[in-house]
Amino acid sequence: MLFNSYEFSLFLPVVFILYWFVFNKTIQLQNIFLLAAGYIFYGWWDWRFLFLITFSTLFDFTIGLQLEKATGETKRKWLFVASCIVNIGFLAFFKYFNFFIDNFIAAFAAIGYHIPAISLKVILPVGISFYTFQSLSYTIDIYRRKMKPVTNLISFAAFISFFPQLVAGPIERAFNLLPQFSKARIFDKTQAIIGMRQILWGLFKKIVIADTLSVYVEQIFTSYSVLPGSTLALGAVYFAVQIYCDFSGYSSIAIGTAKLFGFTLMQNFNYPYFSTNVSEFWRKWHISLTSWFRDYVYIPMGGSKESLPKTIFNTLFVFSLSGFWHGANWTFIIWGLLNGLYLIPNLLYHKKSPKTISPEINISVIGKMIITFALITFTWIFFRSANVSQAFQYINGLFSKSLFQYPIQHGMAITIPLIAILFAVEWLRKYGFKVAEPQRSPVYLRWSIYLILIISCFAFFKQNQTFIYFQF
Amino acid sequence: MKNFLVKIIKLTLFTIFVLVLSLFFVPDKVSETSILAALKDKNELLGKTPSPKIILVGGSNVSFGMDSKKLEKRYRMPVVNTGLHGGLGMEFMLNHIKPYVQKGDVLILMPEYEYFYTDNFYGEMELVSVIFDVEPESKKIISTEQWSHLLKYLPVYSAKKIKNYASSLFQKSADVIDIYHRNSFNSYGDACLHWNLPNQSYLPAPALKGNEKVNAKSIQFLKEFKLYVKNKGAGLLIFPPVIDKTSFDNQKIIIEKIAEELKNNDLTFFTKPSAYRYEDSLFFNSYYHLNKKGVDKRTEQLIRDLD
Repeated sequence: MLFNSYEFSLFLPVVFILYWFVFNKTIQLQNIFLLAAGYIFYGWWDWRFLFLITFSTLFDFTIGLQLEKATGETKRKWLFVASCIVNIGFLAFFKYFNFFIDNFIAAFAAIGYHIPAISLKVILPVGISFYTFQSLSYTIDIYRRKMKPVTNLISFAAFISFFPQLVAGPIERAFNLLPQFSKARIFDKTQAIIGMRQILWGLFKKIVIADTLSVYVEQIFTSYSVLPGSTLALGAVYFAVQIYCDFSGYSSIAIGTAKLFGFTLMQNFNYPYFSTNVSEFWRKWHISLTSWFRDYVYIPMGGSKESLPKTIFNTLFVFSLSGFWHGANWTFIIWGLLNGLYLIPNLLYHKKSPKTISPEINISVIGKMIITFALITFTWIFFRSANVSQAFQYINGLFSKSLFQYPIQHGMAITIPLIAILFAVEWLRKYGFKVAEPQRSPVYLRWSIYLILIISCFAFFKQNQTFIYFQF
Repeated sequence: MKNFLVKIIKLTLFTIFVLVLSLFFVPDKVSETSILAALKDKNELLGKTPSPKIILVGGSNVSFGMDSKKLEKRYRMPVVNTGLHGGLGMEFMLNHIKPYVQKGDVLILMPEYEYFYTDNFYGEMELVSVIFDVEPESKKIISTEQWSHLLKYLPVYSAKKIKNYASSLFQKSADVIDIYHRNSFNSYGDACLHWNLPNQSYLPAPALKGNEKVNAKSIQFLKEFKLYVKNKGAGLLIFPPVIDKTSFDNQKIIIEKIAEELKNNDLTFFTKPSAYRYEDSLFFNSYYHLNKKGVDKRTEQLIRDLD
């Protein structure tokens, strides 16, 4: 079920009412209901996916309990390895099987051995990368003795299938979200209103901005060979904004929806396009995934505590892996690698980027923001291209003389104002002016803003516009 | 909680109020010049064309896929191409044409396959535009069941009207005659502005699961329509729509089911659907929209089939 669908617009209020008025007698009852809602939400795509999530849930729940019971380190290690093999095995099979086979065949073909092509028609279960990582973090944390396993299967199953963040995150850590399933939930009006605002702004970003830009992005990336460099630059910028609005829109809706049910999810985006360097960007973009890789891959590999060559290797490896997580395509791996390469100068000069940005805005800061945005936008070309060859041809066309021509109109009359609105609102929010906050603006102004956002969502609505990150 | 729900309900009602106002009172200039406005012109053409006549009926596979002049020349009967847009739905399309059917007329229906297995049968956003802004008097032919299907399009359409109106305040749109303009049709009702244009890229119809079922309502409706035409002393011939090879192959199972169901109800396609499965290169910008070469091929094939 898509957040931007008629089905969800009925599903959410019904689940909300039943949750607070019918199933509110005990925590267990609320969890059973959330579990059922999660399964309906997920099974809406394809009921067969439910077998996979059920198996994953039961398996990791059992591993968690066994890890707690096991006394010897060897047994604990084997249980942990089993959890990794099963979770990553599922991911590898459903997501990467054909990629590995194709590359294996191509590699042999390059040295003169021709192996007959094998290709399985594997349906990629929606959101598998997200809930697999969430489930895996649970067993890892128990193995590391950072948390105790839950003994209530319903709570655990409700945690894995929690519908607001099930298919595209934020990828929650068990120690943050799981305890919330064991606590009594009291309706908090202020949080619910904040949640509704997040849902509305998320829908606006997705339906109005991302889906509008997607039309032009598709046109430009399809006809890149005949377009001038300036239009290709425009296409890359459009995609940078599209993917941000698409994904952060989803996260806003997820976080807002969770608030309606008394849950707090982690922040997933923190105004990343206002970052002054790439390192800062990666602390603010898809935070739940970046921190997952940091905690479970980068730091265990030694992080930045080892020698410089090892630190560089760790960085490049983790970024490539992050790219590979996105999909079975060399374009994603190059995208990840390129982002890793951007960080090498910092590592070479042992320069630590400041954790917080100075609130003082001046020309230099804005210049750095623009440069960072341009660097990140360049990497998105790989991310968006169908294959590596197309990406290089696109870049070749981009850096040509025609870069300085006036771009061919690709909806600029509508896209430029929309992008300007996005950046203006985000800027105001980042620097303290919370748009449409009760204490800041009168009722008529707030309601006018809500109405404009709602009407805009309807006006720009297109059916069956899925979220980019669903494919991951 | 109560306070929160009251606020949400108030906001919802306020939004509905604004959308209803817009639906009825916001002027929609787009509907005056869009392809849907050609419905009025086609009505006029139907009204003034003497019977017996050939009436081509269907969605855009008919408007973008026929050269009526050739048909007229062959059968020495006036031809009216009433094809317009698939989004109007088969129920509206056929109900709308009923008053124009006269004794001796021959109706050639080439319905898009979607009418038989999706809600497209009842109409989509384009129908909402027609009944609110192009031809408001057509509301009276909309059935309760149709209204229930159209309900979901109302807020979207209403909001789009506000958007269009707001845009018109800021920028004066040049009245460019493009392929989806009211004036993109020839005197027979064929969309012809694209005949000299190169093909554009488009997505074929998606592959289906294979478990789709034929909508019994559409078959029943077609049976009743056939009876109506017969009682009027006219004839009804049902042809498969023209569709590109990729889309046909993607939807082969449901197409076969539709053909079978029509056959079982004495509504058999005049020729087998695969006869109108054309090479992808003959399509202009959609799997139902032929280019000029495709239009010629299809018209000639239709003539051969009728002969």
